[in-house]
Amino acid sequence: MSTTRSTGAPSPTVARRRGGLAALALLPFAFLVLFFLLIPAVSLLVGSFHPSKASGLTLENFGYLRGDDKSLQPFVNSFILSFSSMVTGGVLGLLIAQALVSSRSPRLEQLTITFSSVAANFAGVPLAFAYIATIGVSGLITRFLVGFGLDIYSAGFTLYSLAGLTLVYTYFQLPLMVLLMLPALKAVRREWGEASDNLGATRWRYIRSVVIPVLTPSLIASLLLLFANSFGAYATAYALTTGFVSLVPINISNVIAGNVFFDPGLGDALAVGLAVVMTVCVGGQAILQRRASRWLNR
Amino acid sequence: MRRRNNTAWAVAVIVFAFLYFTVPLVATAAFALSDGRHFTFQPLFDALARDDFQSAMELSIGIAILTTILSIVIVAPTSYLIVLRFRRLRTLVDFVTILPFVIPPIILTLGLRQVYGVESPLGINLVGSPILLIGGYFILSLPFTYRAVDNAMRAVDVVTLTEASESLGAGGVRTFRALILPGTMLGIISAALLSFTTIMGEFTLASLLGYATFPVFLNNVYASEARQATALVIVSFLITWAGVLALAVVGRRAGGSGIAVRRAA
Repeated sequence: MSTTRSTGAPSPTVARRRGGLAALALLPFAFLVLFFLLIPAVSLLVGSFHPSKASGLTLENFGYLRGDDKSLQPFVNSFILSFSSMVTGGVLGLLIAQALVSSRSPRLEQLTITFSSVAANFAGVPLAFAYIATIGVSGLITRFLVGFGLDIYSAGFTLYSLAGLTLVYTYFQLPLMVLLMLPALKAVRREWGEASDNLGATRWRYIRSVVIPVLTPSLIASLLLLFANSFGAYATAYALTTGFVSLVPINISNVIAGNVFFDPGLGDALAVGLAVVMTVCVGGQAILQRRASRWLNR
Repeated sequence: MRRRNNTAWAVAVIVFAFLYFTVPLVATAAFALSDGRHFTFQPLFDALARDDFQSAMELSIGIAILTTILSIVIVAPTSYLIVLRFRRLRTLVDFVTILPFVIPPIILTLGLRQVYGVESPLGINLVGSPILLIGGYFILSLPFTYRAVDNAMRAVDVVTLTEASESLGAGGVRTFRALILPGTMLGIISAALLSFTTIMGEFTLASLLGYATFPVFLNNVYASEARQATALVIVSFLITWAGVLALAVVGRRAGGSGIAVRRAA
Protein backbone atom coordinates (compact mmCIF):
# COMPACT_ATOMS: atom_id res chain seq x y z
CA MET A 1 0.00 0.00 0.00
CA SER A 2 2.71 2.44 0.98
CA THR A 3 4.82 1.70 -2.09
CA THR A 4 2.32 3.37 -4.42
CA ARG A 5 2.22 6.52 -2.33
CA SER A 6 5.16 8.28 -3.98
CA THR A 7 3.74 8.02 -7.51
CA GLY A 8 1.05 10.61 -6.79
CA ALA A 9 3.35 13.15 -5.17
CA PRO A 10 4.22 15.96 -7.63
CA SER A 11 7.70 16.66 -6.27
CA PRO A 12 9.61 16.02 -3.04
CA THR A 13 9.47 19.68 -1.97
CA VAL A 14 5.71 19.95 -2.38
CA ALA A 15 5.27 16.70 -0.49
CA ARG A 16 7.43 17.96 2.34
CA ARG A 17 5.56 21.26 2.53
CA ARG A 18 2.25 19.40 2.63
CA GLY A 19 3.68 17.19 5.36
CA GLY A 20 4.46 20.33 7.33
CA LEU A 21 0.97 21.72 6.78
CA ALA A 22 -0.51 18.38 7.77
CA ALA A 23 1.48 18.43 11.00
CA LEU A 24 0.05 21.89 11.69
CA ALA A 25 -3.45 20.41 11.38
CA LEU A 26 -2.63 18.08 14.29
CA LEU A 27 -1.87 21.01 16.58
CA PRO A 28 -5.43 21.76 17.82
CA PHE A 29 -5.80 18.16 18.92
CA ALA A 30 -2.43 18.19 20.65
CA PHE A 31 -3.25 21.52 22.28
CA LEU A 32 -6.57 20.34 23.76
CA VAL A 33 -5.14 17.04 24.97
CA LEU A 34 -2.17 18.80 26.52
CA PHE A 35 -4.14 21.49 28.36
CA PHE A 36 -7.25 19.59 29.36
CA LEU A 37 -5.86 16.11 29.98
CA LEU A 38 -2.10 15.81 30.34
CA ILE A 39 -1.32 18.94 32.37
CA PRO A 40 -4.17 18.28 34.87
CA ALA A 41 -3.08 14.64 35.18
CA VAL A 42 0.55 15.56 35.78
CA SER A 43 -0.53 18.23 38.27
CA LEU A 44 -2.32 15.56 40.32
CA LEU A 45 0.61 13.20 40.15
CA VAL A 46 3.05 15.89 41.29
CA GLY A 47 0.61 17.18 43.92
CA SER A 48 0.25 13.74 45.44
CA PHE A 49 3.95 13.75 46.39
CA HIS A 50 3.87 17.25 47.86
CA PRO A 51 3.64 17.70 51.61
CA SER A 52 0.76 19.92 52.73
CA LYS A 53 2.75 22.50 54.70
CA ALA A 54 6.29 22.37 53.35
CA SER A 55 8.27 22.01 50.16
CA GLY A 56 10.03 18.94 48.82
CA LEU A 57 8.71 15.47 48.21
CA THR A 58 6.91 13.13 50.57
CA LEU A 59 4.81 10.00 50.79
CA GLU A 60 2.72 11.34 53.67
CA ASN A 61 -0.37 11.79 51.46
CA PHE A 62 -0.45 8.07 50.69
CA GLY A 63 -1.81 7.15 54.12
CA TYR A 64 -3.86 4.37 52.60
CA LEU A 65 -0.69 2.55 51.55
CA ARG A 66 0.37 2.44 55.21
CA GLY A 67 -3.01 1.07 56.22
CA ASP A 68 -4.09 4.37 57.79
CA ASP A 69 -7.75 3.75 58.59
CA LYS A 70 -9.17 7.12 57.65
CA SER A 71 -7.81 7.18 54.10
CA LEU A 72 -8.02 3.41 53.58
CA GLN A 73 -11.75 3.24 54.36
CA PRO A 74 -12.93 4.77 51.04
CA PHE A 75 -10.83 2.24 49.12
CA VAL A 76 -12.25 -0.65 51.15
CA ASN A 77 -15.82 0.59 50.60
CA SER A 78 -15.28 1.26 46.90
CA PHE A 79 -13.77 -2.19 46.56
CA ILE A 80 -16.74 -3.85 48.30
CA LEU A 81 -19.26 -1.92 46.20
CA SER A 82 -17.43 -2.57 42.92
CA PHE A 83 -16.91 -6.23 43.70
CA SER A 84 -20.49 -6.88 44.79
CA SER A 85 -22.05 -5.02 41.85
CA MET A 86 -19.58 -6.80 39.54
CA VAL A 87 -20.81 -10.16 40.89
CA THR A 88 -24.55 -9.34 40.79
CA GLY A 89 -24.38 -7.62 37.41
CA GLY A 90 -21.94 -10.20 36.07
CA VAL A 91 -23.87 -13.31 37.06
CA LEU A 92 -27.31 -12.00 36.07
CA GLY A 93 -25.98 -10.41 32.88
CA LEU A 94 -24.29 -13.66 31.87
CA LEU A 95 -27.52 -15.61 32.50
CA ILE A 96 -29.55 -13.19 30.40
CA ALA A 97 -27.01 -13.18 27.57
CA GLN A 98 -26.98 -17.00 27.55
CA ALA A 99 -30.79 -17.09 27.60
CA LEU A 100 -30.79 -14.83 24.54
CA VAL A 101 -28.33 -17.06 22.70
CA SER A 102 -30.40 -20.14 23.60
CA SER A 103 -33.61 -18.45 22.45
CA ARG A 104 -32.13 -18.16 18.94
CA SER A 105 -34.49 -15.28 18.22
CA PRO A 106 -32.82 -12.40 16.39
CA ARG A 107 -35.74 -10.07 17.18
CA LEU A 108 -35.59 -10.77 20.91
CA GLU A 109 -31.85 -10.29 20.76
CA GLN A 110 -32.11 -6.95 18.97
CA LEU A 111 -34.77 -5.80 21.43
CA THR A 112 -32.64 -6.77 24.43
CA ILE A 113 -29.59 -5.06 22.95
CA THR A 114 -31.58 -1.83 22.60
CA PHE A 115 -33.00 -2.08 26.13
CA SER A 116 -29.54 -2.93 27.48
CA SER A 117 -27.96 0.05 25.74
CA VAL A 118 -30.54 2.34 27.31
CA ALA A 119 -30.17 0.83 30.79
CA ALA A 120 -26.36 0.75 30.62
CA ASN A 121 -26.43 4.47 29.78
CA PHE A 122 -29.14 5.38 32.27
CA ALA A 123 -26.91 6.16 35.23
CA GLY A 124 -26.21 9.05 37.52
CA VAL A 125 -28.73 11.43 39.08
CA PRO A 126 -31.86 10.17 37.23
CA LEU A 127 -31.09 6.57 38.15
CA ALA A 128 -30.70 7.47 41.82
CA PHE A 129 -34.10 9.19 41.89
CA ALA A 130 -35.75 6.34 39.99
CA TYR A 131 -34.53 3.94 42.67
CA ILE A 132 -35.70 6.17 45.51
CA ALA A 133 -39.16 6.03 43.89
CA THR A 134 -38.82 2.25 43.57
CA ILE A 135 -37.29 0.99 46.78
CA GLY A 136 -36.71 4.10 48.91
CA VAL A 137 -38.43 4.45 52.30
CA SER A 138 -41.82 4.98 50.63
CA GLY A 139 -41.00 3.50 47.23
CA LEU A 140 -43.40 1.44 45.17
CA ILE A 141 -41.73 -1.93 45.88
CA THR A 142 -41.17 -1.05 49.54
CA ARG A 143 -44.90 -0.37 50.04
CA PHE A 144 -45.79 -3.41 47.95
CA LEU A 145 -43.69 -5.62 50.24
CA VAL A 146 -45.15 -4.01 53.37
CA GLY A 147 -48.53 -5.07 51.98
CA PHE A 148 -47.23 -8.65 52.24
CA GLY A 149 -46.04 -8.05 55.79
CA LEU A 150 -42.40 -7.56 54.83
CA ASP A 151 -40.98 -4.22 55.94
CA ILE A 152 -37.47 -4.24 54.48
CA TYR A 153 -36.50 -0.99 56.18
CA SER A 154 -37.32 -2.24 59.67
CA ALA A 155 -35.48 -5.43 58.71
CA GLY A 156 -32.33 -3.32 58.33
CA PHE A 157 -32.20 -2.62 54.61
CA THR A 158 -31.56 0.90 53.41
CA LEU A 159 -31.03 2.19 49.91
CA TYR A 160 -28.42 4.62 51.22
CA SER A 161 -25.89 1.95 52.18
CA LEU A 162 -23.34 -0.14 50.28
CA ALA A 163 -26.00 -2.85 49.87
CA GLY A 164 -28.46 -0.28 48.50
CA LEU A 165 -25.82 1.16 46.19
CA THR A 166 -25.02 -2.34 44.95
CA LEU A 167 -28.67 -2.76 44.01
CA VAL A 168 -28.71 0.57 42.15
CA TYR A 169 -25.37 -0.01 40.38
CA THR A 170 -26.62 -3.40 39.21
CA TYR A 171 -29.11 -1.50 37.02
CA PHE A 172 -26.29 -0.36 34.73
CA GLN A 173 -23.81 -3.17 35.43
CA LEU A 174 -26.17 -5.98 34.37
CA PRO A 175 -26.98 -4.61 30.89
CA LEU A 176 -23.32 -3.71 30.36
CA MET A 177 -22.47 -7.37 31.05
CA VAL A 178 -25.14 -8.46 28.54
CA LEU A 179 -23.68 -6.18 25.86
CA LEU A 180 -20.11 -7.29 26.57
CA MET A 181 -20.75 -11.06 26.76
CA LEU A 182 -23.27 -11.50 23.96
CA PRO A 183 -20.65 -11.50 21.15
CA ALA A 184 -18.45 -13.93 23.10
CA LEU A 185 -21.31 -16.34 23.83
CA LYS A 186 -22.39 -16.25 20.20
CA ALA A 187 -18.85 -17.21 19.19
CA VAL A 188 -19.30 -20.59 20.91
CA ARG A 189 -20.31 -22.61 17.88
CA ARG A 190 -23.12 -25.11 18.03
CA GLU A 191 -20.97 -27.44 15.92
CA TRP A 192 -18.38 -27.66 18.70
CA GLY A 193 -21.00 -29.17 21.00
CA GLU A 194 -22.12 -31.58 18.29
CA ALA A 195 -18.52 -32.53 17.55
CA SER A 196 -17.82 -33.26 21.19
CA ASP A 197 -21.08 -35.27 21.41
CA ASN A 198 -19.96 -37.31 18.43
CA LEU A 199 -16.62 -37.94 20.07
CA GLY A 200 -18.47 -39.33 23.07
CA ALA A 201 -17.76 -36.50 25.51
CA THR A 202 -20.23 -35.82 28.32
CA ARG A 203 -21.99 -32.45 28.54
CA TRP A 204 -19.84 -31.50 31.53
CA ARG A 205 -16.65 -32.55 29.77
CA TYR A 206 -17.65 -30.34 26.81
CA ILE A 207 -18.29 -27.35 29.06
CA ARG A 208 -15.06 -27.89 30.99
CA SER A 209 -12.78 -28.53 28.03
CA VAL A 210 -14.28 -26.30 25.34
CA VAL A 211 -16.73 -23.66 26.60
CA ILE A 212 -14.85 -22.51 29.69
CA PRO A 213 -11.42 -22.16 28.04
CA VAL A 214 -12.95 -20.25 25.11
CA LEU A 215 -15.02 -17.93 27.28
CA THR A 216 -12.68 -17.30 30.22
CA PRO A 217 -10.68 -14.41 28.69
CA SER A 218 -13.87 -12.56 27.62
CA LEU A 219 -15.52 -13.28 30.94
CA ILE A 220 -12.65 -11.92 33.05
CA ALA A 221 -12.21 -8.96 30.70
CA SER A 222 -15.91 -8.07 31.03
CA LEU A 223 -15.83 -8.42 34.82
CA LEU A 224 -12.78 -6.14 35.01
CA LEU A 225 -14.65 -3.53 32.98
CA LEU A 226 -17.65 -3.79 35.30
CA PHE A 227 -15.38 -3.41 38.32
CA ALA A 228 -13.74 -0.30 36.86
CA ASN A 229 -17.12 1.06 35.80
CA SER A 230 -18.38 1.24 39.36
CA PHE A 231 -15.04 2.06 41.02
CA GLY A 232 -14.88 5.42 39.25
CA ALA A 233 -18.61 6.21 39.35
CA TYR A 234 -19.52 9.35 41.27
CA ALA A 235 -22.87 10.82 40.21
CA THR A 236 -25.15 7.94 41.22
CA ALA A 237 -23.58 7.51 44.65
CA TYR A 238 -23.58 11.25 45.29
CA ALA A 239 -27.20 11.83 44.24
CA LEU A 240 -28.35 8.90 46.33
CA THR A 241 -26.45 9.62 49.54
CA THR A 242 -25.66 13.36 49.10
CA GLY A 243 -22.08 12.43 49.82
CA PHE A 244 -22.67 10.57 53.09
CA VAL A 245 -20.95 7.39 52.06
CA SER A 246 -17.19 7.01 52.09
CA LEU A 247 -16.17 6.03 48.57
CA VAL A 248 -13.02 7.09 46.72
CA PRO A 249 -14.85 9.36 44.20
CA ILE A 250 -16.97 10.91 46.98
CA ASN A 251 -13.87 11.65 49.07
CA ILE A 252 -12.18 13.28 46.09
CA SER A 253 -15.27 15.42 45.56
CA ASN A 254 -15.05 16.60 49.18
CA VAL A 255 -11.55 17.88 48.47
CA ILE A 256 -12.74 19.65 45.30
CA ALA A 257 -15.65 21.23 47.17
CA GLY A 258 -13.10 22.71 49.57
CA ASN A 259 -14.10 20.72 52.64
CA VAL A 260 -11.58 21.79 55.30
CA PHE A 261 -11.32 18.28 56.70
CA PHE A 262 -9.68 17.10 53.51
CA ASP A 263 -6.34 18.49 52.43
CA PRO A 264 -5.41 18.83 48.76
CA GLY A 265 -2.48 16.41 49.00
CA LEU A 266 -4.81 13.66 50.17
CA GLY A 267 -7.18 14.38 47.27
CA ASP A 268 -4.31 14.02 44.81
CA ALA A 269 -3.15 10.80 46.47
CA LEU A 270 -6.69 9.38 46.34
CA ALA A 271 -6.92 10.33 42.66
CA VAL A 272 -3.60 8.62 41.92
CA GLY A 273 -4.77 5.48 43.77
CA LEU A 274 -8.03 5.50 41.82
CA ALA A 275 -6.16 5.93 38.52
CA VAL A 276 -3.94 2.95 39.40
CA VAL A 277 -7.00 0.76 40.07
CA MET A 278 -8.53 1.89 36.77
CA THR A 279 -5.28 1.26 34.88
CA VAL A 280 -4.99 -2.29 36.23
CA CYS A 281 -8.62 -3.04 35.26
CA VAL A 282 -8.62 -1.35 31.84
CA GLY A 283 -5.12 -2.63 30.99
CA GLY A 284 -5.98 -6.19 32.05
CA GLN A 285 -9.20 -5.96 30.10
CA ALA A 286 -7.37 -4.84 26.95
CA ILE A 287 -4.85 -7.70 27.17
CA LEU A 288 -7.53 -10.35 27.79
CA GLN A 289 -9.75 -8.94 25.06
CA ARG A 290 -6.94 -9.37 22.57
CA ARG A 291 -6.67 -13.04 23.55
CA ALA A 292 -10.44 -13.44 23.40
CA SER A 293 -10.61 -11.99 19.89
CA ARG A 294 -8.92 -15.16 18.60
CA TRP A 295 -12.33 -16.80 18.84
CA LEU A 296 -14.53 -13.79 18.29
CA ASN A 297 -13.42 -12.66 14.85
CA ARG A 298 -14.27 -15.67 12.77
CA MET B 1 -37.12 -32.98 26.13
CA ARG B 2 -33.97 -31.12 26.99
CA ARG B 3 -34.80 -28.42 24.46
CA ARG B 4 -38.16 -27.66 26.09
CA ASN B 5 -36.44 -27.25 29.46
CA ASN B 6 -33.94 -24.92 27.87
CA THR B 7 -36.69 -22.74 26.44
CA ALA B 8 -38.61 -22.52 29.73
CA TRP B 9 -35.43 -21.50 31.50
CA ALA B 10 -34.64 -18.87 28.87
CA VAL B 11 -38.17 -17.44 28.96
CA ALA B 12 -38.03 -17.12 32.76
CA VAL B 13 -34.72 -15.25 32.55
CA ILE B 14 -35.99 -12.91 29.83
CA VAL B 15 -39.14 -12.14 31.81
CA PHE B 16 -36.99 -11.35 34.84
CA ALA B 17 -34.84 -9.05 32.68
CA PHE B 18 -37.89 -7.25 31.39
CA LEU B 19 -39.31 -6.68 34.91
CA TYR B 20 -35.93 -5.63 36.19
CA PHE B 21 -35.71 -3.01 33.46
CA THR B 22 -39.25 -1.67 33.69
CA VAL B 23 -40.13 -1.72 37.41
CA PRO B 24 -37.96 1.32 38.34
CA LEU B 25 -39.46 3.22 35.40
CA VAL B 26 -43.02 2.33 36.40
CA ALA B 27 -42.26 3.34 39.99
CA THR B 28 -40.77 6.64 38.76
CA ALA B 29 -43.86 7.42 36.70
CA ALA B 30 -46.17 6.31 39.51
CA PHE B 31 -44.50 8.64 42.00
CA ALA B 32 -44.02 11.59 39.66
CA LEU B 33 -47.33 11.59 37.84
CA SER B 34 -49.78 11.41 40.71
CA ASP B 35 -50.97 13.86 43.31
CA GLY B 36 -51.45 11.07 45.83
CA ARG B 37 -54.70 9.77 44.42
CA HIS B 38 -55.10 10.76 40.80
CA PHE B 39 -52.98 10.44 37.73
CA THR B 40 -51.81 13.86 36.52
CA PHE B 41 -49.17 15.36 34.27
CA GLN B 42 -49.13 18.51 36.41
CA PRO B 43 -45.74 17.91 38.16
CA LEU B 44 -44.13 17.43 34.75
CA PHE B 45 -45.73 20.61 33.35
CA ASP B 46 -44.73 22.54 36.48
CA ALA B 47 -41.15 21.35 36.14
CA LEU B 48 -40.98 22.13 32.41
CA ALA B 49 -42.37 25.65 33.01
CA ARG B 50 -39.68 26.60 35.53
CA ASP B 51 -37.26 29.32 34.48
CA ASP B 52 -34.33 27.53 36.13
CA PHE B 53 -35.21 24.33 34.25
CA GLN B 54 -35.22 26.18 30.94
CA SER B 55 -31.93 27.95 31.56
CA ALA B 56 -30.34 24.65 32.71
CA MET B 57 -31.58 22.91 29.57
CA GLU B 58 -30.33 25.76 27.38
CA LEU B 59 -26.90 25.58 29.00
CA SER B 60 -26.73 21.77 28.61
CA ILE B 61 -27.82 21.82 24.97
CA GLY B 62 -25.57 24.79 24.16
CA ILE B 63 -22.48 23.21 25.71
CA ALA B 64 -23.32 19.84 24.14
CA ILE B 65 -23.67 21.34 20.65
CA LEU B 66 -20.53 23.50 20.91
CA THR B 67 -18.42 20.64 22.26
CA THR B 68 -19.75 18.22 19.67
CA ILE B 69 -18.91 20.59 16.82
CA LEU B 70 -15.45 21.21 18.27
CA SER B 71 -14.89 17.46 18.68
CA ILE B 72 -15.82 16.65 15.09
CA VAL B 73 -13.85 19.56 13.63
CA ILE B 74 -10.75 18.45 15.52
CA VAL B 75 -11.07 14.66 15.67
CA ALA B 76 -11.98 14.00 12.00
CA PRO B 77 -8.91 15.66 10.40
CA THR B 78 -6.65 14.31 13.16
CA SER B 79 -7.80 10.74 12.68
CA TYR B 80 -7.51 11.13 8.88
CA LEU B 81 -3.95 12.43 9.06
CA ILE B 82 -2.88 9.76 11.56
CA VAL B 83 -4.15 6.99 9.27
CA LEU B 84 -2.77 8.66 6.15
CA ARG B 85 0.51 10.28 7.03
CA PHE B 86 1.59 9.94 10.62
CA ARG B 87 1.30 6.22 11.17
CA ARG B 88 4.13 6.29 13.67
CA LEU B 89 2.01 8.49 15.94
CA ARG B 90 -0.76 5.92 15.86
CA THR B 91 0.15 4.11 19.09
CA LEU B 92 0.59 7.40 20.93
CA VAL B 93 -2.77 8.79 19.80
CA ASP B 94 -4.53 5.49 20.55
CA PHE B 95 -3.07 5.62 24.04
CA VAL B 96 -4.08 9.25 24.60
CA THR B 97 -7.63 8.63 23.39
CA ILE B 98 -8.25 5.76 25.82
CA LEU B 99 -6.63 7.66 28.70
CA PRO B 100 -10.00 9.15 29.79
CA PHE B 101 -11.10 5.57 30.60
CA VAL B 102 -8.29 5.38 33.13
CA ILE B 103 -8.90 8.92 34.37
CA PRO B 104 -12.61 9.00 35.26
CA PRO B 105 -14.55 12.32 35.38
CA ILE B 106 -13.97 12.76 39.11
CA ILE B 107 -10.17 12.73 38.64
CA LEU B 108 -10.34 15.01 35.62
CA THR B 109 -12.45 17.44 37.64
CA LEU B 110 -9.89 17.53 40.45
CA GLY B 111 -7.09 18.10 37.96
CA LEU B 112 -8.92 20.83 36.02
CA ARG B 113 -9.87 22.54 39.24
CA GLN B 114 -6.24 22.53 40.39
CA VAL B 115 -4.79 23.82 37.14
CA TYR B 116 -7.51 26.32 36.12
CA GLY B 117 -9.02 27.19 39.50
CA VAL B 118 -8.70 30.39 41.49
CA GLU B 119 -5.16 29.49 42.53
CA SER B 120 -4.07 28.39 39.06
CA PRO B 121 -0.31 27.69 38.96
CA LEU B 122 -0.37 28.72 35.28
CA GLY B 123 -2.17 31.96 36.09
CA ILE B 124 -5.16 30.87 33.98
CA ASN B 125 -8.37 31.15 35.98
CA LEU B 126 -11.18 29.57 33.94
CA VAL B 127 -13.73 29.19 36.76
CA GLY B 128 -17.21 29.90 35.38
CA SER B 129 -15.98 30.11 31.80
CA PRO B 130 -17.61 27.76 29.27
CA ILE B 131 -14.10 27.03 27.97
CA LEU B 132 -13.36 24.91 31.04
CA LEU B 133 -16.48 22.78 30.60
CA ILE B 134 -16.08 22.45 26.83
CA GLY B 135 -12.42 21.46 27.17
CA GLY B 136 -13.26 18.91 29.85
CA TYR B 137 -16.13 17.46 27.83
CA PHE B 138 -13.96 17.25 24.72
CA ILE B 139 -11.63 14.99 26.73
CA LEU B 140 -14.44 12.95 28.36
CA SER B 141 -16.03 12.12 25.01
CA LEU B 142 -12.70 11.58 23.21
CA PRO B 143 -12.63 7.76 23.60
CA PHE B 144 -16.04 7.51 21.92
CA THR B 145 -15.65 10.20 19.28
CA TYR B 146 -12.16 9.16 18.24
CA ARG B 147 -12.98 5.44 18.10
CA ALA B 148 -16.12 6.05 16.01
CA VAL B 149 -14.35 8.32 13.50
CA ASP B 150 -11.19 6.22 13.37
CA ASN B 151 -13.16 3.02 12.66
CA ALA B 152 -14.94 4.78 9.79
CA MET B 153 -11.61 6.08 8.38
CA ARG B 154 -10.24 2.57 8.27
CA ALA B 155 -13.45 1.00 6.95
CA VAL B 156 -13.40 3.16 3.79
CA ASP B 157 -9.64 2.79 3.23
CA VAL B 158 -8.80 6.49 3.15
CA VAL B 159 -5.24 5.82 2.01
CA THR B 160 -6.31 4.40 -1.36
CA LEU B 161 -9.02 7.03 -1.76
CA THR B 162 -6.53 9.82 -1.15
CA GLU B 163 -3.97 8.37 -3.56
CA ALA B 164 -6.63 8.10 -6.27
CA SER B 165 -7.84 11.63 -5.61
CA GLU B 166 -4.37 13.18 -5.53
CA SER B 167 -3.26 11.38 -8.67
CA LEU B 168 -6.23 13.06 -10.37
CA GLY B 169 -4.85 16.38 -9.18
CA ALA B 170 -7.04 17.20 -6.19
CA GLY B 171 -5.38 18.93 -3.24
CA GLY B 172 -5.39 17.63 0.33
CA VAL B 173 -8.17 19.87 1.60
CA ARG B 174 -10.37 19.18 -1.41
CA THR B 175 -9.82 15.43 -1.06
CA PHE B 176 -10.82 15.62 2.59
CA ARG B 177 -13.96 17.67 1.93
CA ALA B 178 -15.19 15.99 -1.24
CA LEU B 179 -14.24 12.36 -0.55
CA ILE B 180 -13.21 11.57 2.99
CA LEU B 181 -15.94 13.47 4.83
CA PRO B 182 -18.84 12.02 2.80
CA GLY B 183 -17.25 8.56 2.94
CA THR B 184 -16.98 8.57 6.71
CA MET B 185 -20.19 10.51 7.39
CA LEU B 186 -21.97 7.71 9.28
CA GLY B 187 -19.00 7.31 11.62
CA ILE B 188 -18.92 11.07 12.14
CA ILE B 189 -22.65 11.16 12.92
CA SER B 190 -22.16 8.31 15.41
CA ALA B 191 -19.34 10.25 17.04
CA ALA B 192 -21.51 13.37 17.23
CA LEU B 193 -24.41 11.46 18.81
CA LEU B 194 -22.11 9.78 21.34
CA SER B 195 -20.60 13.13 22.25
CA PHE B 196 -23.97 14.86 22.52
CA THR B 197 -25.61 12.19 24.71
CA THR B 198 -22.55 11.85 26.94
CA ILE B 199 -22.55 15.58 27.61
CA MET B 200 -26.32 15.89 28.14
CA GLY B 201 -26.12 13.40 31.02
CA GLU B 202 -22.81 14.49 32.54
CA PHE B 203 -23.02 15.46 36.21
CA THR B 204 -19.58 15.20 37.83
CA LEU B 205 -17.66 17.96 36.04
CA ALA B 206 -20.57 20.37 35.83
CA SER B 207 -21.58 19.94 39.45
CA LEU B 208 -18.13 20.24 41.01
CA LEU B 209 -16.93 23.03 38.75
CA GLY B 210 -20.12 25.02 39.36
CA TYR B 211 -22.18 24.91 36.14
CA ALA B 212 -25.99 24.66 36.42
CA THR B 213 -26.54 22.13 33.64
CA PHE B 214 -29.64 19.91 33.40
CA PRO B 215 -28.34 17.02 35.60
CA VAL B 216 -27.09 19.51 38.19
CA PHE B 217 -30.46 21.27 38.20
CA LEU B 218 -32.18 17.90 38.54
CA ASN B 219 -30.12 17.08 41.61
CA ASN B 220 -30.67 20.51 43.20
CA VAL B 221 -34.41 20.65 42.64
CA TYR B 222 -34.97 17.24 44.28
CA ALA B 223 -34.47 18.63 47.77
CA SER B 224 -37.43 21.03 47.48
CA GLU B 225 -39.58 19.49 44.73
CA ALA B 226 -39.06 15.73 44.70
CA ARG B 227 -42.09 15.10 42.52
CA GLN B 228 -41.04 17.59 39.87
CA ALA B 229 -37.49 16.24 39.89
CA THR B 230 -38.77 12.69 39.49
CA ALA B 231 -40.98 13.84 36.62
CA LEU B 232 -37.85 15.21 34.95
CA VAL B 233 -36.22 11.78 35.36
CA ILE B 234 -38.71 10.69 32.71
CA VAL B 235 -37.46 13.47 30.43
CA SER B 236 -33.89 12.37 31.07
CA PHE B 237 -34.85 8.79 30.30
CA LEU B 238 -36.44 9.84 27.01
CA ILE B 239 -33.26 11.70 26.05
CA THR B 240 -31.26 8.51 26.70
CA TRP B 241 -33.73 6.49 24.60
CA ALA B 242 -33.59 8.96 21.74
CA GLY B 243 -29.79 8.89 21.78
CA VAL B 244 -29.59 5.09 21.81
CA LEU B 245 -32.21 4.71 19.06
CA ALA B 246 -30.51 7.30 16.87
CA LEU B 247 -27.18 5.52 17.36
CA ALA B 248 -28.79 2.18 16.54
CA VAL B 249 -30.25 3.58 13.31
CA VAL B 250 -26.90 5.08 12.26
CA GLY B 251 -25.04 1.94 13.36
CA ARG B 252 -27.34 -0.33 11.39
CA ARG B 253 -26.90 1.79 8.28
CA ALA B 254 -23.16 1.60 8.74
CA GLY B 255 -23.46 -2.18 8.94
CA GLY B 256 -22.76 -2.58 12.65
CA SER B 257 -25.01 -3.92 15.36
CA GLY B 258 -25.76 -0.50 16.76
CA ILE B 259 -24.46 -1.42 20.19
CA ALA B 260 -23.72 1.66 22.24
CA VAL B 261 -21.70 1.24 25.39
CA ARG B 262 -20.98 4.26 27.45
CA ARG B 263 -19.50 4.30 30.90
CA ALA B 264 -21.68 5.15 33.83
CA ALA B 265 -21.45 8.75 34.97
